[in-house]
Amino acid sequence: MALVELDSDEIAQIVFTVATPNGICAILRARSDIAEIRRHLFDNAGDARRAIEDYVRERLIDLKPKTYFPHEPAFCALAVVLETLPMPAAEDFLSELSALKIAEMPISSRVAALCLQRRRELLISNTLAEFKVGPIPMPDASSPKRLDRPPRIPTETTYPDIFKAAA
Amino acid sequence: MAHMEFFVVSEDLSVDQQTNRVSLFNVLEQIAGPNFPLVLPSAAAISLWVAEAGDEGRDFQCMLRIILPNARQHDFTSNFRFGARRHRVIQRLQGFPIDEPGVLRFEVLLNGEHKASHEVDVSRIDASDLPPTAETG
Repeated sequence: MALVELDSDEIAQIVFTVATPNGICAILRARSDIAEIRRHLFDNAGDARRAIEDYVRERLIDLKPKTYFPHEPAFCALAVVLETLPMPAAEDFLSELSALKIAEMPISSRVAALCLQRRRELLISNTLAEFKVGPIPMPDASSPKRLDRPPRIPTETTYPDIFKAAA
Repeated sequence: MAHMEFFVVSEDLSVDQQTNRVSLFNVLEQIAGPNFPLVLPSAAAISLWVAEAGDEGRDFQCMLRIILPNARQHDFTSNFRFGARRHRVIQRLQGFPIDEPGVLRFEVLLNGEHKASHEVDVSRIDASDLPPTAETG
């Protein structure tokens, strides 16, 4: 399912009739279309960032000062879609939306904050550390300080000289 | 205090940046080589920790301790805070020397308390037992 499904009248009706962000989250989480869109993004993780950014950019064109943002229900639904997706694009969208404090979008930022909070409870964070252990000191064959082998003493040849023997 | 879910050491591992899923490659069980010291080119230890009440914001020290067959030990520490309820600590090592055959022991400690171990057998094999290399020319 594509993200445009979030523009449905049914989702808009839920957001307009349910007054609290907690209630909106609870109802949207239970919807099968939200779960299907989440699954679609997860299965197409390589294209997910571009899909999310394109979807948001196309709707932000309609953001006008002192006018209620008409796509706010869709943004609430998108926040719920992304809340359990373990991808950086989801984290970015939720962080930015939850930090937004504008009168034109009064509910979606609070829904995003709730989604971010739940995300922190569910997802796994990582700490990565790399350690480079120094190379093993190998004995240098050309070193004059090498003491594990006695110095070579020049001696006469120990193999028979076949040409001299033949002569 | 936080508790551990698992601890494993493998040759390498990767965390998918898009899905945050972990894949382990070649879990270390036995190492063999004809000559010592031999070098373990790469090893990656992963431990998964689950936060308990009161662990939010606390600083934890996860220490990877390697005990060589000759009983010498090396410690590698990483500090972390829980950003979520579950937290992975991944510690990678490169070029680790092993002096002699025996048991190589990896231990993980949280705030100085031993939590788990992973043992690897290190053995010597004859050069003739090694698989033949590809002939050139």
